[in-house]
Formats: sequence, C-alpha cells, structure tokens
Amino acid sequence: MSEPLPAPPRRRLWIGLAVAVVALGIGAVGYALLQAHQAQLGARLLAAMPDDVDKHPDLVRYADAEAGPLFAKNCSGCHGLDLKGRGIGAPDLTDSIWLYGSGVFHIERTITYGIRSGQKKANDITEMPAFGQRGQLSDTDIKNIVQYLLQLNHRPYNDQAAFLGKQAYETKGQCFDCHAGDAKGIIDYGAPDLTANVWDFGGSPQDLYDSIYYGRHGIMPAWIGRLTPEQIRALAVYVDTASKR
Amino acid sequence: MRWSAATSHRPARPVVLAMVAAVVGLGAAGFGLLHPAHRDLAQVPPGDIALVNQEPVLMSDFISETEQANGVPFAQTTRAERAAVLRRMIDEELMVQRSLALDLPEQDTDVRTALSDGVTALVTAPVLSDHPSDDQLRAFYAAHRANYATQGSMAVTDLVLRIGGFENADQSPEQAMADAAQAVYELRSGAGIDFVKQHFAFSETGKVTGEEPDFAARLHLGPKLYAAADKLSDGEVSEPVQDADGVHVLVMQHRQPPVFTDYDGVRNNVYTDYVAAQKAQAKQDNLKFLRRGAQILVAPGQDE
Repeated sequence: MSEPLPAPPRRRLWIGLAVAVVALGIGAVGYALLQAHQAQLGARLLAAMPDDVDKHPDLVRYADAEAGPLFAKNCSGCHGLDLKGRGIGAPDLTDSIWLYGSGVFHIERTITYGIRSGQKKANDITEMPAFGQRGQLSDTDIKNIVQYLLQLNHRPYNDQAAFLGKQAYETKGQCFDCHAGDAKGIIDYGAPDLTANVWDFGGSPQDLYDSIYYGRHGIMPAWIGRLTPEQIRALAVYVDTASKR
Repeated sequence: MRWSAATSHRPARPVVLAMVAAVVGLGAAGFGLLHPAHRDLAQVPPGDIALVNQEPVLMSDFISETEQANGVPFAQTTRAERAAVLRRMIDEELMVQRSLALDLPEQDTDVRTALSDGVTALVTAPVLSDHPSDDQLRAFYAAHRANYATQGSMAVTDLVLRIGGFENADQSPEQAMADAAQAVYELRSGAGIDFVKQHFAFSETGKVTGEEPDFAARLHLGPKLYAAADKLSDGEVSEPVQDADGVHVLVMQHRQPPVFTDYDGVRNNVYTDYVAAQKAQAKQDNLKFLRRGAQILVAPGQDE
C-alpha cells in the first residue's frame, strides 16, 4: 500500500497551460460579446429615427460614450471641451438657442454638411452683410442700432439713439428682413434672435458695432466623409443631450 | 500491460487534444463575433432609407427633402407623401448612376462645369469667413484704383516713322530715332502735322479714330503707346516711342482724363471685388496644389 505518486512535472505543466488557455479563451469570448453588443447598439442608434433616439436611454448612453472622445478631438477646438463655445463665433451648444433648428435631426444635418462649407446641402442661405464697410450704414446709424439692441435686451441704453436705431433697423438697414420685425430672428435664414442677449460674436457695444460694421460669416466644416454616419449621429445626440441638461 | 505502459509514456495526450479543441473553438467563436458576416446585400443598412445598386440613399437626406417638399415637419407627413419623395430620390440616384455609366463628366460640358464649380465652391468657402480689415480694403482700392474711375477719352494722332520698307528703305533705327526727335522738336515749336509728315516721311497710323474711350484707345494703340498717350494733355506731343513697326510720335488733340471715385464712394464695390479676388486666389492655390500631385503629359510641340 504505497502512497500514489505525484503527477510528473511535465503533466502538471500541460494542465496549467490548459487552464490558462481556457481562461484566455473565456476572456476573448467575453470581449467579443461586448464588442458585438456595442456594434448592435451602434446599428440601432443609426437605424432609429433621429428625433426618437432620446426615447431609448441605452442608445443615448451609448452615443454619449462614443461621442465624448470624438467631440474632444474634432469639435472642442472651436466649441470648447465644455461645449460652451470659445468666443470666436462658435456658439454655446449647451443653451437652447439653435440658429438652424434644434433636435437631433437638425444638429445631425449641420454636422454632416456644415454651415457655409461649400457643400450644396450646407446651411448657407444668407450671411450678415458688412453694412459699415460696404457703406450701407453710416457710423452714426450703426451706433444708433447698437443702442436699439441694448434696449431690446433690457440693458442700459441711450433713449434718443435707440429711437433712431429702431428707425434704421426698420428702414435703411433693412435688418427686419432677416431678423424679423420683432427682432426675434428667423431660423430659415439662420438669423439669430436679437432679443435673447446671446451673442456668438460677443455682446459688448463694441462687439455689436463690429458685427454690423464688418458683417459676420460664420462657417462650420462639413464632416461627411471625415466621420462615419454613426459617429455623426452619436455627436448629434451628445450635443442635443448637452443642450437639454 | 500495454495500455498502462502507453498511458504512462504519454500522460498529456488527452489534455493536448482538449487544448487544441478549445483553442480552435474559441478562436472560431471569437473571430465570428469580432468579424460580423458580410452585409446582406438585400438589407438596407442603418442610417439609409434605400440602397440603389448598393449606393445608399441617406435617411437624413430623405427626411430633409420630405420636409422641404411638404413644408411641414417629417412626423406630420403622410405615407404617400414620403413615398413620393423616396421614389423621386431613387429615380435621381438611378439617373446619376446612369450618367456615370455614360461617362457624362467627360462628355457633357454642363456636367463638367458643374463639377468644376462644385470644387471651387468647396475650396473658396473658407475665404469668405475672413473679414477684411479697412486697411486691407483701402490697400486693395489703391492697387486697383483704375477700376473705380469713370472712363476717360482721347483724340490722339499717332504718327509713325517706319524703319525700312518702301517709305524709308535706307533708314537705320538710330537715324529714325534722331529724325523723330527732330520732328518732336518741330511739333512742339509750332509746326503742323502735315509739315512733319512731309519733311520726315511720317505717316498717320489711324489707330485712334476721333474721340475714343480710354479702353478702346488702349486696345487700338497697344499698351506701350497708350502709356505714352495717357500722360499727355491737350496739344502735347510725346517723346519718340520705339515700337514694333517703327518710331511713333503721339500728338494729343483732346484729352478727357478719367475721374477717380474716392474710397468712400465705392466701398461696396471694393468689398465685393476684394472678396472676389480672394476667391480667385484660393481657386488658383487649389489648382497649384492639384498640379503638384498630378501627372500631366502634353504632346510634343504644344504649350499650355
């Protein structure tokens, strides 16, 4: 009755290797399953109607996770990592003001084709003319209109100048043509609301003067061909979500 | 005895077989999961509304066009309205594909122009976002001041002393210049044109007929003679001007100089012209870039 002999050293080595391989395999399968799940989410995100995505929290979570690094790499240069814009004509994306329409669909269109990007499908119906530089409005006209804008936004203003500025707004400057008679803007043109006290190019009197004198011609590049449709959708959801927080 | 001897000699065989099976199985499973099967050709990918000969029609474009066609948000459009838009988009895609099959970009001038204009629009778009400063516009105005002037006019007599040929067969260029200088002296001293023509064998070219606008005079005289004429006032005589056909002397009969508009009077035009010039420059820069990367062969003896 002798005790059983221990397994030869070589046999134990094989068993150890087998356990390692099986563990590795299980890990690989787990990783593959995760990837497959992500791919499925990506497909679902793209298949959903753009403005219905917010009805699916799992898709919103997926889009946010996918879009965060993309935004940091491609968009933050102008819009800032906090999405609040960097004061160079790139708007704050966290507020509720959208020049070309809100919601995932319109944001996605803007990302895809850009603004005045040269793409035929881009948002580029009009631009803010250089009223001063072109000699269409005098220095005094512009200063008066600035006072009118300050009045519209309940900021300190000169009464007489604002009165004359309103006249110039409605006649000589033809500002109402794009910004509407009540100055609340027209989305079809991408003309901003001038009563919301939100200014993409700065809201100081001098900034407002410069906007009228030099005009504005903000552009955003088209990302079609540079990002995949799924990435663009994810970014649109990401930005839309940020604006609703 | 043989069996036990065998197992004792090869204790790892079952384990090795199990490992091989596990590796193969897991590898196949992993590969399958990480590399999804090729897209089913009969299936419309997510994000598209249709596939036309494997070319996608984007859902985004479909929604946008449906809204534009019906003037209401997409959710408010009817199934029939959407179907009509989709049919039109598919038809358009078919036509585009057919145009490529027919090689229209190479054969149809309108298509070529549209493609060329499309590229120009893309490369010049960023130019428009750069607002020029007032200094830039004023510098542009100064450099192109002639563009912002009313058209002047001139009635000028162009006399030429041809070198060689029938009229002055033995005359050298040096002699012609000396004769022309003498003729200028006579004209400035009050001699008439007929006297000079007879005495020095000058002839009138007739390049300028009566009073001509500056652009016409420039066209008829050529740049060298026009530059000389442009400096003259009423009754003045130019210095001799050597040109391809002989030595010229210009006598200004009447000059109405152009009137230059000051900057403030033409700001709008200056701005528009400046932007147009910037766009033209961007287009040229793009062409230079394209040429650097292109292989262009020109037939022997031909210039481009």
